[in-house]
Amino acid sequence: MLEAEKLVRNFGDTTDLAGISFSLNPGICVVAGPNGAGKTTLLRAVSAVDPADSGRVMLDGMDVYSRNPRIRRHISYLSDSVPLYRDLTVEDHLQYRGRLKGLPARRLRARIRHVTDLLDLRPVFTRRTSALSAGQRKRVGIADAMLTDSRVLAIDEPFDGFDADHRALLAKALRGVARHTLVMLATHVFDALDSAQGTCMVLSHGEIASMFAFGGDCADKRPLAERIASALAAGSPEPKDLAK
Amino acid sequence: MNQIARTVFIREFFSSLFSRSRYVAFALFHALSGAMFCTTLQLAEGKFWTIQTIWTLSVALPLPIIVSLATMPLFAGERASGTFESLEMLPISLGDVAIGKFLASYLSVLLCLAATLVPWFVLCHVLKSRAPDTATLAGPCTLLILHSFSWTALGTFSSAVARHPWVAAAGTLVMGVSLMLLWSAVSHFWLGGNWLSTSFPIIEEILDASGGHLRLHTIVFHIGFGAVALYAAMRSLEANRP
Repeated sequence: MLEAEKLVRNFGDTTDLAGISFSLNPGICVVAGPNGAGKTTLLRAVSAVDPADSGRVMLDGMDVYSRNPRIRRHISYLSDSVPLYRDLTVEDHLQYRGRLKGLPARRLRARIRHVTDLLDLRPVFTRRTSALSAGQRKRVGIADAMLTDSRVLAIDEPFDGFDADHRALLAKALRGVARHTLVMLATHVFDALDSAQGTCMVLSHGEIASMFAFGGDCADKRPLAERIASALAAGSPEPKDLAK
Repeated sequence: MNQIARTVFIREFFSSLFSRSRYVAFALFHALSGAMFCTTLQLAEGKFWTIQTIWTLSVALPLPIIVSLATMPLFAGERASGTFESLEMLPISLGDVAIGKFLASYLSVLLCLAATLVPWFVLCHVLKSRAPDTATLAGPCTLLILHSFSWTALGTFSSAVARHPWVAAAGTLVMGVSLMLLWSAVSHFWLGGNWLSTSFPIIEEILDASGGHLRLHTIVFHIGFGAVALYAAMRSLEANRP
């Protein structure tokens, strides 16, 4: 379980996170909200890439900000810019990252095969990452993040640059991962997630405007985008049906 | 060397073998070194410097340039391209990464230095009677290996603290020259040295080594300085990690 307590993050005079608290179990968590609402800052804060100024984040009882190297084993974060080694091929990039993550050779080969099949990366496997399109780069980044079985997988704008087929493919892959991992997605694209099940956290001005469950046997069957829009329009927290 | 350092070493070394910018840097170094060698040979050979002294000087003096170019992308390049952040997130020691990167750069610099021996062998072949035996290069070569070690360690430190590769390259040169000036000043004003030797300690040790005299304090200094610079790089990387 990931628990965040009173997270505050300021950039100069701007407050990106204004004392956010929540707790999340494994599953998909969509972090939505308008530009500047604090989605990326929240993902970076819970992943300890850019820790909050105050507050704390606990992952299964471990303090994420403790600078304990063991905690990094359990958190994967992929930024919007998708940093890849431009001089390497997709295969070499994944091999290198997998070795750094400490995966034994045989397991690494199997994992690379699994994630490349899952994300349809076979056709570009031997191509240099510098020659990939934005969507392909994003898929390589996600494949890298999925190499190990982390407990938190935080991805910023996962569907950027994807066509409809690949959005559906990624959503299916993430649903599989979310069975045992907390998958946090900061996104503006919701259509691919309508068939998924999880929690949606709507941020506005650094605060949680609304947090609700979607998909599965949830009573509200409206599309996710519509529910988020109405939550933002209401400007006040929607009744939380997380208990469901 | 542990598994992480070995993995980083292999990746960095092979990446440098296929790096166009690295070959441009090597070509620049050889052009500079060759020009210095030929010019000094015309002006000074047989007057006050021997051929091996001229060779050693023409390799050692441009050495900081090739080292600063070779080390600048180590960490600063990763920061500029955004991959450093994902490296910091891994459950590994950044000290191991620094060791792997340092060794890869050091090896590529040594290979570049080894290439400067080729003209020397050609010279020995052409000037049969006048050129000294290649064995006389043992001293200068050892000194150049030591110089490369300390410069590469300083370059690794500079790259570890800089945000941009060119800042790292400039930082390596500025720090190196500043430390040499500091060394001269301390030696001159507090240790009773004289202007001719201690103001330019690097020249002094090059002249000594080219004559076959490698002093113990030179060896201790370069190994010690390199180790301290490398340790500082490792510490600064870990200290600035989120």
